[in-house]
Amino acid sequence: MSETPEELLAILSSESSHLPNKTLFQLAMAGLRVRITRSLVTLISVILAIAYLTYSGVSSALIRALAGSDAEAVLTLLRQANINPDQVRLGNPVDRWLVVMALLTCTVGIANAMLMSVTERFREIGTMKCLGAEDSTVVKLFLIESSLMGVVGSLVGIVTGLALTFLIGLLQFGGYAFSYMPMASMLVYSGLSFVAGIFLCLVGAGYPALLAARMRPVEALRVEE
Amino acid sequence: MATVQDVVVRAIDVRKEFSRGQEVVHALRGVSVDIFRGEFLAIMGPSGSGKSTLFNMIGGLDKPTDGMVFIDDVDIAQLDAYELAWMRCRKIGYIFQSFNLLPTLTALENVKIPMLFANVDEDTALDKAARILERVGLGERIFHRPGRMSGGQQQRVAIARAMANDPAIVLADEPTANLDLHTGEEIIHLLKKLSQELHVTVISATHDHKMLNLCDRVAWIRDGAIERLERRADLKITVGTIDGHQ
Repeated sequence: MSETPEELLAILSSESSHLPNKTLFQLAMAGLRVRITRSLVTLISVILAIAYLTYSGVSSALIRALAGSDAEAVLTLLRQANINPDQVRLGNPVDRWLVVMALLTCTVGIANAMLMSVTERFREIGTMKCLGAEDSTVVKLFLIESSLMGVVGSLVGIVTGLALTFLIGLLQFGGYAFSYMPMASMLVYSGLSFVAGIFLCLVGAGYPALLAARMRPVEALRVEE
Repeated sequence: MATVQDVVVRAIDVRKEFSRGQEVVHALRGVSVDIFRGEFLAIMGPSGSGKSTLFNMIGGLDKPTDGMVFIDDVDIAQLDAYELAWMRCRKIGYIFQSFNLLPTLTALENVKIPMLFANVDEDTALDKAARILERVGLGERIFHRPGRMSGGQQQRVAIARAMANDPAIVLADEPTANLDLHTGEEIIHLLKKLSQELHVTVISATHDHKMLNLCDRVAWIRDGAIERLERRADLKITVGTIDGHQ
C-alpha cells in the first residue's frame, strides 16, 4: 500500500475526460443518498472525532487563558475544578492520545464505508468505464464523495465541539468562560479541525478510490445472481 | 451482397488463454473474422464456448494473448489505457444483459453521460439525448429514473445511450435475456431498425433464436473457434432443422 499515494496522484494528473464537475457532484451526492444509513453512520463518526478535536483544543486554550489570569476568583475556580495550571500549559498527553485514536478510528471507518461502496458498485463503475470514463474520473468521483462527507462532518463537528466547550466552560467557570475565551485560538483550532476532517476523509477514501479506478470495464458484463 | 464491403472489425487469428490454477484454459484457439459496416451479426454458442471472450475482444474490453483485433483499422492490443477509454467512448456502444443504467440518474442524464465523456457541450448533449430517446420511443419518459421503468423501457434507454456518440459498432451482450418474449422481440426490431438507419454495426452475443430472423450473419462458436459463419439467407434451412428436432 506504500505506493498508493503516488499511484493516485499519477492517475489524477493523467489526461482526463472532461466530465463536468457538476455531473460529478451530482453522482457523488446520489451515491451518498442511495446509501443514506451508512453515510449517516460514517458522518456521525466524523462529527464526533472532529467535535472532540475542536473541544480538546479550544478548551485547553481556554484553561491556559484562565490560568494566566491574576484574578483570585478565577484561580480559585481552577483549583476547585482540580486543574493544575502548570500541567495544562504543557497539554495533557492522555487527551492527545484520545484525540489521535478518535481520528484514526474515524479514518478506518471512512475507509471501510468507501470500500463497501466500491464493491457494491463494481457494475456501475464498470459501466462508466465502458462509456468512456477514465481512471481519473472514477478516482475523482470517490474523492468528491468522501470530501463532501468531510466538509459536512467537519462543519457540524466544529460547531458541536465549540458548543461543548462553552457549555462545559460555563458549568465550571461561569461567565469567565466567555470573558476569557481566546478568540484567536478558537479560530485557529476550528480551522485546524476543518483541515483535519477533510484530510482524514481523503486519506480514508484513497485506497478504495484506487481499487475502483483499477476495476476493469468487463466487470460491467457480470450478471448478478 | 456486394463483395466490396467496408470492414469495421477485423480479427486475425485471435487466441486467448487463461491460467486456472495449474492448467491453461484455451478460451479462443485462433479466431479470424471480418465484420462489415452496418451489418447485424449474432454470435451464438453454448456457455463456455468462448463466445463471451470473443465478444470482449471485439469490444475492446479485453486483450488477446495472441493475434490482432482491429476496430476501424486500429489494433486495440497496441492501445494504452487512455486510448482504450477514448475508443470505448467514441467508437463502441455497449448494451448489457441487465441494462446497467446508472440508477441515480434520469433516462435523459443516462443518455447524456457518454456524450459528456466525449467532451460534447452540455446543451448539445441535452438536445441530442432527447432526440435519441424520442427515436427509441421514450419521448415522454425522459425524466424517469430506471427504477420507475419496465425492463423493456430500460433497455431502450440503454440502446439510446449506446448510440449517443454515433459509434461505429454497438455490442449487445444477451440484450434480450432479461426480457419477456414479446419485449425481447421489440428490442431486436429496434436494434435492427437503428442499425439500418444509422448504418451502425450491431454485434450481439446471444442465445435468443428470435435474433436469427433479423440478423445478417450468424457466427456459431464452439470450443474456442468459429464453427460456422452463415448468412441469414443460407440459414433458413438450418433453423428449420433445429425446429424440426424440437
